[in-house]
Amino acid sequence: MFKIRNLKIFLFGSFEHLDFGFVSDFDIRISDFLNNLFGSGNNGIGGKPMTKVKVAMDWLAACAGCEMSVLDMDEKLVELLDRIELTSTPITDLKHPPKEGVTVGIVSGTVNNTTNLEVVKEMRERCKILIAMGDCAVFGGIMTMRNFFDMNEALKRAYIETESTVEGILPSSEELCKPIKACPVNNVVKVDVYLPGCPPSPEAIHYVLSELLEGRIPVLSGENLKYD
Amino acid sequence: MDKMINLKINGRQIRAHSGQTILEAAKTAGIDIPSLCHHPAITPHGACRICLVEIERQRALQPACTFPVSEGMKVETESPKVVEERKFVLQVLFSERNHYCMFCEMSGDCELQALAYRYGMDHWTYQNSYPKIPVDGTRKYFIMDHNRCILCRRCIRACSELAANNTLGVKFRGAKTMISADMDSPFGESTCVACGTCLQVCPTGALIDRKSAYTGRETQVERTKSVCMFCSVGCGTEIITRSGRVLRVEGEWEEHNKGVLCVAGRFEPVYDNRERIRTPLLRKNGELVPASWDEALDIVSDKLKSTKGNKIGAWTTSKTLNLTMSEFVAVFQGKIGAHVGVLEPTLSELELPVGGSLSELVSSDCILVVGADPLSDHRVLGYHIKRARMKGAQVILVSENCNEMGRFAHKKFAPEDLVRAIKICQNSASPFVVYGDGTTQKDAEKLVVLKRKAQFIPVFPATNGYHAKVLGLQYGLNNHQIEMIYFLMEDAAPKDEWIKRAQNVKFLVVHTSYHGPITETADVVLPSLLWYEQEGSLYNLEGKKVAVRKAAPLPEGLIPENEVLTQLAARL
Repeated sequence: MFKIRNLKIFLFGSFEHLDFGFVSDFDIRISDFLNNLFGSGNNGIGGKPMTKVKVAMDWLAACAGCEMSVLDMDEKLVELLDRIELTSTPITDLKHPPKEGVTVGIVSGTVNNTTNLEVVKEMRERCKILIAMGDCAVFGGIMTMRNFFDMNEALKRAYIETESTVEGILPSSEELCKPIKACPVNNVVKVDVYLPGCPPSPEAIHYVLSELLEGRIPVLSGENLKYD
Repeated sequence: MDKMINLKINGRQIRAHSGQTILEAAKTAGIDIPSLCHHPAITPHGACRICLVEIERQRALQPACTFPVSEGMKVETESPKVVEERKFVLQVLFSERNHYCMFCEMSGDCELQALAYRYGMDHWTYQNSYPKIPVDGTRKYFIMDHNRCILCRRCIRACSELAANNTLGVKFRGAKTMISADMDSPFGESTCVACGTCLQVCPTGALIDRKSAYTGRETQVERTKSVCMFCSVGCGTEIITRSGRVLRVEGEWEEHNKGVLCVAGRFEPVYDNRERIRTPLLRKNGELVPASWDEALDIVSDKLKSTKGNKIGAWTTSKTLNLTMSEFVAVFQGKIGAHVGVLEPTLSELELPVGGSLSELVSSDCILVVGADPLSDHRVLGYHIKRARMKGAQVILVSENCNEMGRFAHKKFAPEDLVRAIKICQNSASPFVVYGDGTTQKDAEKLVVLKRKAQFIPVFPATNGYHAKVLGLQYGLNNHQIEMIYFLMEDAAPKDEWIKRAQNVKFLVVHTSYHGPITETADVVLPSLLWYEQEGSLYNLEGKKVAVRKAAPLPEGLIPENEVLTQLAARL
C-alpha cells in the first residue's frame, strides 16, 4: 500500500488560493491522491484483489442522529461492507482509531470540550481523509447556542438550577474535561469532505462514501445538500 | 419616453425599455439573476450584492437590480468571476450573524438558504464569531429574530412604501447595524401597526409569524386565493391551510391592495377564540339544546307562516356574500313580506358616485376625507391615503371627532366648513373624495359638485355594504310592532342596539357563528359559516366583484347560509 511519510504536508500543503468553501475549489492534489489510493476500476492497485478501505468513525458533542442516518442506509450499508471495513466506530464501540491509521475518518458532533479536542486531533492524525458529517461538525450546529451565555451561567443552570436537581454541585474532578467554546470541526483541524445535514440523509452519506470509493471527490447538490 | 434599447445578456440579444434595470430586462427575457434584497413591489436597493453582474468596460461588478440598461451593453450573469463573487458574498452573509438552519422556522423556504444550495455551499470559510444578537418578541403577532436578519432592508422599504407607516429603520452602522423601530423602541411598543407587510416580504427566518411557525413548508400547505371579509376594502388574500386547518393569511399581490393587509385581516381572524356554534339549537325549557336542521327549520317556517308579514323583522349584516344577501331579500321581502333591513349603514341615502380606484388614489394630488376614519377601521385604505401623501398629495380632513387621519391631514375643517374643503379640491388636478357613514345628506348634496372632476371612494362601514346599497336595503332597527325577528349575523360581533332590540321580541331567530349575548335570548339559533368556509362573491371598495373562496372543508353538519334560506323558503 501507498505509504505517505509526511501526511500533513501532503494533504494541507500550501494552498495559495482562497478557499471559498465549495468542494469544486478543492486542491487538485487530493484528487490525484485519491486516484492512486483507490484506483479507477474494480481491481485496485497493481491488479491485486481489492483490499477493503478502512473506515473509522468517532463522535464529539453529538446526538447520534448522524450515526442513526448511517444505519438508515439499511441494505446499502451491507453492500458497502463488501468494500469498506469499519474499524472503531460509536457502533462497534472501540474508543480509538487503529494506531496504524485508516483511510477514511468520519467525525460527527461539535467540538465542545477539551476531550473533543483530543478526539478530533487524533482522528485527523490517524485518518487520511477526514469527513465532517452533520451540521454540528460542519457548521457548529446546536451546541453553539451555548456560546451566547457565560460558561459559569451555563454550568450553574445545568448542574444546580435544573428543576429536578436537589443540592446540585458543579463537577470539579481533575479527571474531567473542561468545556470550551463550541465550534465546528474545521476550526480545529483541516477537513477534507463536508457533509452537512441534520442529519444528512442516508442517500447523501451513501453518495459521499461511494464517490470516495470510486476515487472521486464528492460534490453535493440537489437532494443531497441540505442544512436541516 | 419608451425608447427601446438593445443589449446583450449572456450572449443573447435582448430588447429592453429605456429606464429599466438589467434585472428587469433579464426577467422579461426569461433570464434569472438571483437576488435577496430585491422585491418587485418595492424600490430596488442594491443592499445584498447577490445580483452583481459583469458588464463590459465597467471597472467593478455592478448590481443588476439598480443598474440601468444602455444601448449596446454586454452583460454576463453567470461568468466564473460573477459566480466566485456571489459565493464570496454568501460566505460573508453567513459569517456575520448566527445562521443555523437546523432549528430555523424558515428552513426549506428561506431565500438565503436556497441561494446557498444553488451555489453548492457545504461549509463556512469564515469562522463564526458568535455575536450575541437579540431576539425581539415584544410584538403580539410576530417575532423579530435579528440573528437571522441579513439587513436586506425589505422590511424597512415595505413599511415605508407599502404600509406608509415609516416605523422601521436602522440603528448604528457597519457590523453593528440593526433593524430598529422609531427611536430604538421595542417593536411592540413602537408606532408599528402590526400590518404584517414586513413579515410577508422577509426573505429569511428573521420575521416569524407566531401562530404558523413550524406548522408546514410551502410544499406541505395549500394556498387558497380569497378576499378578506373584515371591512369593505375587500383586500385580496391568500389563506394558507394544512389538513383543513387555517395557519395564516397573506396579502395577495395581484389584487387592488397589492399584498398589503392590516392587523384586522391578517392576524386577528386567526386568533378568534369565541365559542363556535356547531349545530342548530332550539330553546326547550329555557335551555338551548341541539336539534337537527329539519327540526329547527320546521319550527322557524311554522312561526313565519303563523305570523303576519308586517309583524316580522328580518335583518342581515352586510358582512355576507352577494348570493346570501340576495336570497335573504328574496325570501323575507319577496316571499314573506317582512320588514327587511341591514344592520349597518349602507350610505344608500347618499347619492354620490362610487368606483374610485385605489391605485389611482396613490397618484392623486388632493384627497378629501369626509365622514370617515379610514386608519381606524378601513386601514388599508388609510395606508393608501398616506402613501399618496408621501408622494405629495394634499390631505384634507373634514371631521368633528377625534380622527386617526388628523395627524396626517394638511388641512382640517369642521363639518360646517365643508364648502371650503370642496373648493380646494376643485382647484386640484386629480382629486379624490373618500366619504363614509358620517357624511350627511346635506354634505352629499354639496359634494355632488365634484362629480365630474373627482373619483369617489365610498367607505361602507361593513364588508359588503356595496351590495346592500345595490339591493336597496335600509339601515335601522325600526320601532314597528314586531313579534318575530330573524337576525342573519354571520360572525359579526353583535352591537348593543341589536341586543336591545332582540330582548324585547316574542320570537327570536339568530343565524350566527358564535355564541354571545344575543344567542342568550334566542329561541332558535342556526349556525353560520366562518370567513374561510365561505364560497361566493362580494364587492370590494372599488365596486369590483371579487371571489371569496372556501379554504377549508365545512365542519360536519354545517350548511352555507344561502342554502339554509333556500330550504327555509321551500317550506313556506
